[in-house]
Amino acid sequence: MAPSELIQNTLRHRRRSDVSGRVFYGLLIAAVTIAFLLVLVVMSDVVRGSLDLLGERAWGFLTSPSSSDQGKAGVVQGVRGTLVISVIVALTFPIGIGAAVYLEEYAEDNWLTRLIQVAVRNLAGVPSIVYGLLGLAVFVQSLRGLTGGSSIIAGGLTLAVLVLPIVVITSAEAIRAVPAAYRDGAYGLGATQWETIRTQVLPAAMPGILTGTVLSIARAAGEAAPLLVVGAAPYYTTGNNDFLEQLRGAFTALPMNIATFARLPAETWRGHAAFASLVLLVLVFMINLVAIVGRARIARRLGR
Amino acid sequence: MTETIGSRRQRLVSMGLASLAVAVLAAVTYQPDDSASSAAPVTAVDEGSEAVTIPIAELAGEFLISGSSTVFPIVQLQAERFAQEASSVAISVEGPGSGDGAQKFCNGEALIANASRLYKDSEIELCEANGIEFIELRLAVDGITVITSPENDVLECLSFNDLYALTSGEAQGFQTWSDANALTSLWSGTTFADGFELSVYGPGEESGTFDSFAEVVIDSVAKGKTGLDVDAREFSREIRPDYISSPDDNTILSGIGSQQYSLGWVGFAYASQAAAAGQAKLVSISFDDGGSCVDPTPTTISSATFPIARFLYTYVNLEAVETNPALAAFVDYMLSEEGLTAVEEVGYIPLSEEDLSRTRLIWKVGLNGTGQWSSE
Repeated sequence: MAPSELIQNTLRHRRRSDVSGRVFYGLLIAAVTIAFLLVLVVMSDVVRGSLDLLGERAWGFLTSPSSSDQGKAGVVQGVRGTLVISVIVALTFPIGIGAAVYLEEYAEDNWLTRLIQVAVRNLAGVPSIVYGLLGLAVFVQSLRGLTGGSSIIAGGLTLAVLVLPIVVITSAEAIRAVPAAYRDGAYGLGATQWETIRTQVLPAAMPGILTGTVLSIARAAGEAAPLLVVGAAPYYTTGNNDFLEQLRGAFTALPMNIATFARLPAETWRGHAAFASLVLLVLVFMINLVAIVGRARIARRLGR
Repeated sequence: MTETIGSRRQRLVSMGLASLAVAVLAAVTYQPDDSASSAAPVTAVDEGSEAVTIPIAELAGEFLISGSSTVFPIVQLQAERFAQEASSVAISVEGPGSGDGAQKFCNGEALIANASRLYKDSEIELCEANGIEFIELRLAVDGITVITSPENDVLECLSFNDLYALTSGEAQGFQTWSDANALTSLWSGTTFADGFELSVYGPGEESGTFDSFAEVVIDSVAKGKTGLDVDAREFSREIRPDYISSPDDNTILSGIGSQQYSLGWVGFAYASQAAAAGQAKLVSISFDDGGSCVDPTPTTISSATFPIARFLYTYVNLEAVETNPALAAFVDYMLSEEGLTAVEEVGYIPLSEEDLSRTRLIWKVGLNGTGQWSSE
């Protein structure tokens, strides 16, 4: 049989028996279309809802504090809260990455390590409201002296704990994906274990770690339930408290702004909820963009 | 006003103070203290010393206001206006619910807490156990409003007995309005026509509006206040479990609009706005069968002619009144003419002259404890 004949036979064979394959392909296209349409519907709904407000006082909305007056209400406190929460969450990333390095590079493969790994995976699946209760008990009540009670520190730390398992898992996956040859090469040149991790493993795993951490910031930025339990305030003034006092005082975040707007009686508040959603979407999108750009840069520097 | 608090124990720490207040109430018509409006300086009274006057703009301090989500819009607006003058005061306002607010208030976390009902005995005991003394102020009136779809051209008026037959525990499983005839025929009440599907919407158990509806409507009927023979048979004290409940009033209103012969209840602020927007129709209510039907309006609710009304309260931490001049100034503002305009602006109903004088007097003398407003 000539090679060309063989290829033709194969093609014919595929064409003949590929009915189920085509059906499957069609189903996949349908799934993608439905997912895409749903996103499109949500986006257009949010944008359409916020059009009025966008035209009237987009800048005023972004720079005003919460108010019961529709003409004055804004989300500046929520935006500030969400940004501070993101910073607090980011500050705790070394803990998660450190845990991942330990589990992947140092810990022996025994029952205890496996137990910890299973526990971390399970923690990643615990509903966020449960972390809210944890935050209420630990950060709001037990550590009141440090956090000042229902404050943005308490809220930020609660969300940091919420995303910690996700950071550990994604970092561990990234570290595991580093080829053994990198480590062997470094050891072969006489590097210690810490030098190997610092100069070879972590840089190679950094794009994956970065993706995981920034996605978890986006997750933290979108959470409302834990903040509700920790005690985000729908309305507050800061008086003449300085920045440090404000960190320990009343707080809110964008998802809380959305919830508050959506529950107010008059139909016209829906526009505020939609616009606040749009602001949150844009903010989360920008955070993701930072991750993608950062990842691309590091990958380029490593020449891969 | 049909507030059925029953035999609430009077817990006056200072009986002398109480009798003084009652005597003053009986003898004097209290003149509202106009010096307490926001622009004027505030008088913070130090115990045992002469009054110290601090201009509002120089007040500093912080406090948390918690409690009822129903009262939240009023106090938020008041706090906002107060903060425009008192720019150095840090105020937070939240509305997790009357019960949650009571917990925070009696733990000393919240220095002011709002409630859409009087505090329960268990809550007062918690406050006592933690050594929290308080002042109990009546702030505004809210009517619980029965609503139906704007397309419903049949329903105009319901009596308490009708509402019992449609929404009590005994109404469980009723799919059409005429199913309720099984109950109304027992007391030869209203006969509902056949062929109208019944769908019931209302707030869930976590809501003060749920408690108030059960207490004011269902309990009144079950206790025989509307003229039924309650010794002859067992009446339910519950709301039927098979209605569509939501903590979000907007969800209730959209459910009401979606069914032509729907039935539901929400607070007056939401109902009147929905009626104005053509989303709901307000149903008139009569207390007994054949009694006169009363429309829910600000006038009928504040005068207690409308039978399903309830009071909204504010609890103030007594110790904080002395130690926190900013808080004292804020409560002064809440009860001032200017502060109280917020009540109507967000859709609630102002207190009667008599109640307003009384609440201001209680605040002025710093009357400690509950019992000022029991069973009217």
